[in-house]
Amino acid sequence: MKRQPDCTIKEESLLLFHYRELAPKERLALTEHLRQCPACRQRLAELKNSLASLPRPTLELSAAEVGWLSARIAARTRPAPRPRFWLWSGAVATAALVVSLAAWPPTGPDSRLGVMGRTSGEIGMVEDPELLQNMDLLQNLDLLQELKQVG
Amino acid sequence: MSNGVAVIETNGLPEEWEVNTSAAEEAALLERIRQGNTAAFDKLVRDHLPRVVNLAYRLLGDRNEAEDIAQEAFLRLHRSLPNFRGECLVMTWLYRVVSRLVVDHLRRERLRRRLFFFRRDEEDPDPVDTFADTAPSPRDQLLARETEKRLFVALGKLSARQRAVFVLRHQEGLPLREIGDLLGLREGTIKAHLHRAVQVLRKDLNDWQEDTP
Repeated sequence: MKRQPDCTIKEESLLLFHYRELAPKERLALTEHLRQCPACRQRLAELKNSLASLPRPTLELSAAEVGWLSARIAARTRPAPRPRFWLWSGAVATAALVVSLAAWPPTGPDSRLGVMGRTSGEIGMVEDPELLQNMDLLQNLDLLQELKQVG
Repeated sequence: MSNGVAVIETNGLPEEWEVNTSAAEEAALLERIRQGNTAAFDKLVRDHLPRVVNLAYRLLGDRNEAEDIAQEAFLRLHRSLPNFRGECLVMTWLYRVVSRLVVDHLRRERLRRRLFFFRRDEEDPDPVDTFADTAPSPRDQLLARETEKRLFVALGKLSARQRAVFVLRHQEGLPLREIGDLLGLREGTIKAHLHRAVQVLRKDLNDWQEDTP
């Protein structure tokens, strides 16, 4: 189809005409041109057909999906839970108590740790005869002092 | 995106986007939310969620990403409520946030891909999309579904702004002036983006229709 010899209508103008985005004055001028230019009418018709054939994608969200997404959003809007200081302080106190009990020196004969500690100390002394000798001397000295007090 | 700014001048939403609550009802709902009523916020979300997800889906073409963007938009709305002065509808505000989030998202994706493929120009076809799986759907799949899929492939060849302008104008029916306000672009730029987008889409979809038996 032939365009008018003086036809300078651009594709963009036809597009804006289709979307009704031309200024009133330009729209009026193009409307007048279209009456006289079959080629531009054809171009506009093709443009409209192309655009009309484009689909409009749509998602159908079920009530359950809306509920699930809403719940996720609601969960994310809630403030983050504050650290439970009372819980941590209790745990720290318990740990400190356990450590202090473990480090406490054994007092009774049932304390296996104490028995083991004393036994190993005695073994150490047995391995050092000079120390044993000195202890004997000290014991003798104590005995002499006691006898002196009695006498 | 400016999170703190919760007021825009536009209210020119397509009729179908108008929520079935009046401005007064919406203001009352917002007040209840500000007072800490979580049920009120849940109602607001449920009222707008399908539209917001659909807007993001048309802009992105991916359902999971659309749901993520919708969630982010509602979280930003929740954070902005103390400053929300009610000078526009909540839906208008969400429209703006979703559009900008999507443009940012698409640009980040483009940048990530361009860094990988060393493309020289933003307008060049994206190699990922060029070599995307465009295998024909099963025979029993509806033609409409295939056309929709093809549309998303074609939209993927546009720049983030071209894509947003086309979807907002053609599929959402927003006037170009409103789109300029939403995206922070001049009207001349918006017109150029729309023209370029339609050119690319028409060519791509015409080629596809000619090749389709």
